[in-house]
Amino acid sequence: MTCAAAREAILDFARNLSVSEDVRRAVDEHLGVCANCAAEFERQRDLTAALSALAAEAETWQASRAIEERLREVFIGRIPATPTPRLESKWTDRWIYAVATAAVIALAVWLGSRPSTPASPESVASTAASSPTSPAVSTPSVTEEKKPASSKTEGNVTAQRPVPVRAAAGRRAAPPKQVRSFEFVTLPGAAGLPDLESGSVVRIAVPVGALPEYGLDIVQGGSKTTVNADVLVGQDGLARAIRLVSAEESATQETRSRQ
Amino acid sequence: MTPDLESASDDVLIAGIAAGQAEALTRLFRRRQADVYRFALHMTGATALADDVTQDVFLIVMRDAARYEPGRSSATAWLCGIARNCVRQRIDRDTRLESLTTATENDATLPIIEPDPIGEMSRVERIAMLRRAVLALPVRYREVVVLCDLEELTYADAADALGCAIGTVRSRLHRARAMLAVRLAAVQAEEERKVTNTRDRALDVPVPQKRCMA
Repeated sequence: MTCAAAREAILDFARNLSVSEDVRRAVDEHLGVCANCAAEFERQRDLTAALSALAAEAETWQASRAIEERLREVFIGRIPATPTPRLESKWTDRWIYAVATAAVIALAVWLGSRPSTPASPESVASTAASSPTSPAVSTPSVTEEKKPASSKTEGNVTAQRPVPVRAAAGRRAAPPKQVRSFEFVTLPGAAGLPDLESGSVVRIAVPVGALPEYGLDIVQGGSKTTVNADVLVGQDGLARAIRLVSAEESATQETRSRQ
Repeated sequence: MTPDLESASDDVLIAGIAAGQAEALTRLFRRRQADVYRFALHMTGATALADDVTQDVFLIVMRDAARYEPGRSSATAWLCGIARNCVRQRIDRDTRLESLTTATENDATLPIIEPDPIGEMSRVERIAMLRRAVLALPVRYREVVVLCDLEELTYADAADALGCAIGTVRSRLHRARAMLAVRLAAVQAEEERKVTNTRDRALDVPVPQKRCMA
């Protein structure tokens, strides 16, 4: 056996791993004639003994007992059938989920609108024409109000009936529903979610071309490619409904933020 | 606690967690938290961080229990793999931990000082020194030592936890142990130098002379 081969086997040998009888015999023979490898084997064996002592001392190490109860509360809180209150911690913080969900929605909407033909000026909502300029995906400004369980909640704004036009070309658009755009519209896929018990509203910028996918109408008369919308996020952090924000409301919001 | 869960295998408990059984989580935590905590503490050297990592690991278990593949590796290897990722994230995030990993791979090429220092020290000193030496290893070498030598995982389980080949685990372990030997030898040499200096200074202290009163 060469020294190189012996060094390979010495690791397992010194770590008290099971090695075949042939290997054991060959290593023994080599250690008998090679002082360097024998010294290496002794070093490795002593190191194994020292590491075993450290491992034995670490046997008594235990995580904090508070973790078990905390995890259990979080876990139970995640089971919808159990009415245990949710643990208010950084992992279950509703606002984090809400903001993250809104950001994901905004990003998905933005990405989804990229390959399509840009919305023509005629197809832009007239109410958005006077709205403040905002980036396509802006940092959502979170309002503090809570919404009731129904996703058909009436908004406080004076709704202006927009004029529906066709969806942007190249997009498989859901047929626009006969709803008023300033009212909350249930999002596709939200039907199977648990009932809304509490929630929050997050304001995002939505490309006009993506509105039909959310059951909102594209209206004529504007020049903006994005409009502001409120997304209703439920207690589980999932989005339930969306509504357009009127130009007046957007302007008011901007004025407040500037102040 | 449900009797059948007490004797259930880790695989069954993880499946129970995926099915929403809180008792399965409690049982798995009580059975495996020490493994995760020890790994995290060996890796970080900080009890608070080890607690955080342990909690993070089981939060991830809650979320990803359905993705666990029984039979691919042991549950301990799976948990250690999660813990390893959590530790690495924390190390990347926390520069204070980086200061612990001052080692370079060149250390492995340093000459080994003989005789072996380990046999020269008291048990407590040896363990403390070894802990420091393990903590000072680069992360990728530290984790193989912790998994293979301290947690006694098989090469296969360690490879699964680390997401690498068994041969890689063996070669890293070989190198890590060589680094440990070098480090321990260097520390021992430093300790001996300090002892020698202290003794020499003690011998150099002048003896106060009695003043003769005329």
